[in-house]
Amino acid sequence: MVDTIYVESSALEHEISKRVLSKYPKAEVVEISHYGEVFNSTGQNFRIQKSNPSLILARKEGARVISTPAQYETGGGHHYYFSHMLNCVYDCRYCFLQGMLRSANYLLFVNYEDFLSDISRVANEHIHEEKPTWFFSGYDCDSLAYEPITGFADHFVSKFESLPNSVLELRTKSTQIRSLLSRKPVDNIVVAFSLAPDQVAREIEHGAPSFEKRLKALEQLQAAGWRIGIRFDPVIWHAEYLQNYERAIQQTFSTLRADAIDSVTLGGFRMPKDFYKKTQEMYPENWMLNIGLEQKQGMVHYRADIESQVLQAVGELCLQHIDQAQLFVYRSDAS
Amino acid sequence: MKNQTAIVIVSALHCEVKAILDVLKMRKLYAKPFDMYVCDDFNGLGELYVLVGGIGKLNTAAAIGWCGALLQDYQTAWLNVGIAGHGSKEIGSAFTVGRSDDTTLARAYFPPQVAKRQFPLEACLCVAEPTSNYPDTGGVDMESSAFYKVALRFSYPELVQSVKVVSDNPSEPVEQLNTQKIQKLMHSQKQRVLDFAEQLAKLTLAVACPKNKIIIPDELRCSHSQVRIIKDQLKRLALFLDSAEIEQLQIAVNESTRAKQLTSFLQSRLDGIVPSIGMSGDRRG
Repeated sequence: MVDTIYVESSALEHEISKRVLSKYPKAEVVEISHYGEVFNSTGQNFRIQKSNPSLILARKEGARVISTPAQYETGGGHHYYFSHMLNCVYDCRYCFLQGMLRSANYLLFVNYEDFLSDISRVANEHIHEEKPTWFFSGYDCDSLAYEPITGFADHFVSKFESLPNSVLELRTKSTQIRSLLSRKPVDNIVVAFSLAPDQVAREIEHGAPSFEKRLKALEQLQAAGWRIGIRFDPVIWHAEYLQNYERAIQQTFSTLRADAIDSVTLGGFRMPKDFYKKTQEMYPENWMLNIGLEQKQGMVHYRADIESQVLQAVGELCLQHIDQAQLFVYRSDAS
Repeated sequence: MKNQTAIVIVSALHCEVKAILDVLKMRKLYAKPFDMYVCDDFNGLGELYVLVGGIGKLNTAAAIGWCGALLQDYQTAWLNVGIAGHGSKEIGSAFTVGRSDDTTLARAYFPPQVAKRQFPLEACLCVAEPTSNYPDTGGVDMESSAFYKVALRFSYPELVQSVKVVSDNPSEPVEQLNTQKIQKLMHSQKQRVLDFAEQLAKLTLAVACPKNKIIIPDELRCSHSQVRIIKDQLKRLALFLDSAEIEQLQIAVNESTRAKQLTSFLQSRLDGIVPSIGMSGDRRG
């Protein structure tokens, strides 16, 4: 429950701000000039803030739609990402946001119309290309977890429906799929769930729905005709990883129609070294951040032998159910 | 990160904290250069200090600087407790500072609000002299901006907070204040202030560092960077070992004579570890 909401003066009258504020009638509202006054001030402790984040409502100016790093593709032509929100309601220990951002407060950009206008402009630049242009949401937040408050997916899905040669990927761990299930599936929307075996999810993905609940949400979406994707990213290396992932993958593909899954992606734990350093200092007691890692070319990731072993093994488990063309593996040495 | 914790309540006047000193039966630790009191065990959450700095920004800054240096080995939280004027709130009501302004500073400061709230949020304007010129909204005091500026050098912004009790307003201006009245006003809010202090103390504990379980012997000859590497390796290893294994490792470390050999040995131990789910977890704060 958010108990403090900072609102930029310029965002106070925006319809999304009003909607969000109406959901938190008891919250203290503090007017600010620019979100940076709160979000970017120095010295903040992400770990402390994570225990009770505030919400910031602001307008996003400047670059709103950004090209993804080269390796991140799932079958589209050009790939872009956009972030209507920074920070996530979940607290996953491998998340790069805890090392990248100064604040754990939720920063929601309410000017959806400007995002959509930029997305439309970028989509039009690639309108005649063979493969569709892919737009990712959910790099810097969970696309659906805050849906009852923000109405983000509801808003963007409607607009994407009429956007030619473009795909929107909503990346999530959330079971907040009501707004999607309440409408007809849209061809150019992919709902991609990050999955992890329940043992891993419970220990590393604090606050996120269980594996079973995520799988159930995927099942419902697929049954309703939505395109779905699966992300085992990062695959978490541990003594029992093979058994745990085998069980999870078996359960996943016995629940879902494998041939109708848009894509499955795998990756090892990886983080830019400065983000890693900050995260490790915040959580010195977390085993995942303390073992089996190496630093190369500004990134901290699993030791090459470990990464190779886990991606190979989990990849093979997936390929028992899906085609090679559906599988995308992100390797540290390829970035 | 530090493994001892303390919360410091900072006030300008003795009468602003008398109720807290009394209820916690605090012991006087220093009389010069500033009055400082201690409660050795604040609800099992570490030590609690009360620092009486004197009126105004300069005194506040000097007192916090001195106290911060004294407590440099502690993970500290800082709570400014005192009186303030207010343009519209009732005498005796209290607020947490959610926005700090200063007539001499261009930018406002917004203390991050994480601790469970005991009081409503208000803006507070820090001025150099007592004033009856109250802002239309928010409070006015003489210490808060300096309190933040200096205390933030010693702790995280989430652990640096200010609670003000309204002592004067346009109907009852500052000229009518006296020691007894202040004492009475502060007394009525003491429990809520201490509840807030407890919330801050809990957050402080959550970020305090666990103690090193394995010690590097003084006899080991090594450079500063080698010490840093060895400490890092030992901390990581300690996460994966039980107490008997830690004891054995301490013996091996004690017997080491060369740092280079020790780092290689520790690295080989680390490389051989395969973690299991549940080996260690976050201390959830």
